[in-house]
Amino acid sequence: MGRFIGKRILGLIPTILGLILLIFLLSRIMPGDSVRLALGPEATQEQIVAMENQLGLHDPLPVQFFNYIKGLFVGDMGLSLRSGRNVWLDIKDTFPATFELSLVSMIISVAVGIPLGIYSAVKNNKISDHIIRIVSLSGIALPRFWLAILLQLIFSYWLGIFPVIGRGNVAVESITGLRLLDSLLTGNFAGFTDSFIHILLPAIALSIATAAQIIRMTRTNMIDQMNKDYVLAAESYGLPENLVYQRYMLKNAFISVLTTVGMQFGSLIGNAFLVEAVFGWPGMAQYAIQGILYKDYNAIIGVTLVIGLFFVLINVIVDLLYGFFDPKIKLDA
Amino acid sequence: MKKNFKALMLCFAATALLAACGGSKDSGTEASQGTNTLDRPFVYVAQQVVGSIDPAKVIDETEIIAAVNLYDPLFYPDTANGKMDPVPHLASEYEVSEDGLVYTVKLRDDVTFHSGNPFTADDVVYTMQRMLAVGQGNSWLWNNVLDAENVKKIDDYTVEFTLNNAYAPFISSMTQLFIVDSKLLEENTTGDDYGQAYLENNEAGSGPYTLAKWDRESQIDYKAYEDYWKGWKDNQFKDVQMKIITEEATVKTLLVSGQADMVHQWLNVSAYKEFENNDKLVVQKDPSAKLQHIPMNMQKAPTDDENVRKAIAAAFDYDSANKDILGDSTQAVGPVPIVVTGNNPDVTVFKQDLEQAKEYLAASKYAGQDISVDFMIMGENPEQRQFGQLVSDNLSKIGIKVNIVNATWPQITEAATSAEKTPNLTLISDSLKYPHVDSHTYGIYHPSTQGSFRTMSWYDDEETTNILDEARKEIDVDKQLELYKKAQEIITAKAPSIYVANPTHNIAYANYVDGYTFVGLMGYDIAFYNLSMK
Repeated sequence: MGRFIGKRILGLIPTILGLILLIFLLSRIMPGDSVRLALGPEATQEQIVAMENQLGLHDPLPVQFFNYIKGLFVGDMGLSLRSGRNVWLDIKDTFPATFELSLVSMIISVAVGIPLGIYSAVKNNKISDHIIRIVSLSGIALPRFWLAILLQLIFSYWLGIFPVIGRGNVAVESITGLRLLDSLLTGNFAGFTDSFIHILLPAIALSIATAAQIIRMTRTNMIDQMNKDYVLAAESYGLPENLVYQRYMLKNAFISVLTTVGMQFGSLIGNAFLVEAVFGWPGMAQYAIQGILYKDYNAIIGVTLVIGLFFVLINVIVDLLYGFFDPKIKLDA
Repeated sequence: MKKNFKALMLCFAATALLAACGGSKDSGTEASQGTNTLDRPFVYVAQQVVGSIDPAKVIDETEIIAAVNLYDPLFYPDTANGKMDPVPHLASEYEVSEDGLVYTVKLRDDVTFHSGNPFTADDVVYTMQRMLAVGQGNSWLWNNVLDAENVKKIDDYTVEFTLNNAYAPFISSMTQLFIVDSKLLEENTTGDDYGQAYLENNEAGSGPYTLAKWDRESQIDYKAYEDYWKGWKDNQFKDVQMKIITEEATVKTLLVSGQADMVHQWLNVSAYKEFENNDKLVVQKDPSAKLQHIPMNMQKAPTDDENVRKAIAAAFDYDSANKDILGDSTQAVGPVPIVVTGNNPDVTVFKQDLEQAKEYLAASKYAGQDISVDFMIMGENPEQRQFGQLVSDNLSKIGIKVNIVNATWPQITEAATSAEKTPNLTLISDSLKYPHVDSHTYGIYHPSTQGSFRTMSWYDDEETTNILDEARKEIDVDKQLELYKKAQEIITAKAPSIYVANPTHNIAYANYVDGYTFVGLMGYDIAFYNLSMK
């Protein structure tokens, strides 16, 4: 196992370097003068040159790239043109909110997707199966931001049971930056309830498409397993239905569902941006959007790097879980 | 299986119940009308993330709003009389030398900073030196006009500014100099950074509010500074939240549901129309100090020909633009917004007249040729796309082909850096930079300012330049304004732009909010100190 993890981490290095190089070059060839944008339209040429020097933009590109990589080792992700701070500090402030939202969305997606997927498979071609399939197909097709606005309108404005925006009003001592976890760790149950109520609606809006994907994947794989001989044998021996579904079929069907979960988890971070905008969620969305609008080089690279790293890490975790669910998959292979 | 399904449903029901119980607490933050103030913080919804609250760096609307509420300038727009003209604020009075070079400013002696330090002339000297040294934000206002060593303390409550050359809008420009607590910043200076690192997360002001909390990207909480030199009344809002929400649907929901008290000016016109039908809300409309125009590149064919420019200006449908696209806006009368003192109402103003447009075209050096122009717009903006269609349609009627160039804002600013890159036409919205006619005359048409989005007509006329130079040197206000008016006459006669509109400034707020005044200077209308409960 240790050797496998070591190999995977070594394999990540060229992937991440490639990612940084790609984003670095793209951010440099994007049209528009970022320094002029940051300093305002009336900035003099002297001001612009001074800031370009401060940012090292007059150095040759390879030197700029080398300096950036060097800086990463000491937590220096460059200066954000918008905030005037180290990008690392900006990301440290905003990433936990995005991560928490994505995590809760994934928990909801799995908690809803797998049971409904199994149920749909068990009721194959019955009316309840058709309803679940139509609903899940709609869930995939409907844009997340539209669902977000719809949920907000119904539950926040008309029914008034959820707050419209924000992450919570009750103060929570920050330990990890994840309000739900921090409030539990500090025994702040008022903070937990407050945070939970605030996160629920954006998390549901974000999770619907993912849950729908999981439902479809689980259903398909479960139906596939139902036709296997071992299921027939188990049923012939008179094993309880639930035991066959949960202990044998689900475990076998779960490998490809796990792949979907892994891929979806990574993309949730990216998709969270639109939902964050609707719910005024203080995550990386605003930071990234402003970064793109103002061509804030370092902010763009920083955010992309974090999302890329997240994707890569999730994939490593999924690889490790493969071995758990199916011992036939040799991790060292 | 059925058991599992039931368990899942039960889980959902429990969650909804929890949300219903807890949620009611949150959504119940209604304003308690009839009392002196709200039972929760006053909530203002803004649309742009605050990048910096350092007064030497603030430049965008939300950043200036932060500065206006946390700091005090020496001079403040005359909001009490609904005018943008500057009146003394931390200053008590001032004098100008006859040559217009030396400004002697007397200061108030009853002001303290949030730290408790008293406000003195040292703070003014330090603030201006810091502004010029940092070289960001609005420092361009004093570049080449004032050297740091020429800001001198005469005594504890008197400062002298000696300018390099006469600069008529100097006092107006002081509305953009927010005074910092020099003692506090000197104690928190790292190297020669003038406290920049400290002001990344803190403030050092004397303004009506202190910084209670700043969640970058989402919210700033302000708390009243109890010892504010102007004092406090019971019905003012002492706790204020400025929330940053970019999604329009969310902004509307917040205001209509009573979870926000005032929302920003940048929503679509249709949103304000919806608010007008809600008797719990007030929509205030004022002509803005903003110029919506389409500068025509005077150094690129075919718009280098005055008659072609006039033809384009005469072919444009101003009524459609103002009524259908911008929604009840006022047609611009030259480059200076009509609410600005010094606007010349007698300049050349075009109306749509296709026959006249054809005559202009026939008189141009391109008569008889196929004429096409590039028109740059921000394609992602629906309003700008409508402008694209309108201009294409209008100009096709006089035989000019329009190539729409969709661009992002960074691409527009890039295109503005040289006459070669600047398209024939570009749709631009230009806010007043300081409360003076100079902003939209000298700032747009003096050749020394060329290279930004403000100067995409690449106007360069010796007579205009001389008049604008002379106007800046004139200390007699009446004579000064005459010169600026003369410049406007000459400029508009050459049709460097299609002067489309002074768009209507809309703002919506709850009907229990009192004291809102729009004066047209960016950020100053959102001075929470001026607001109170009816």
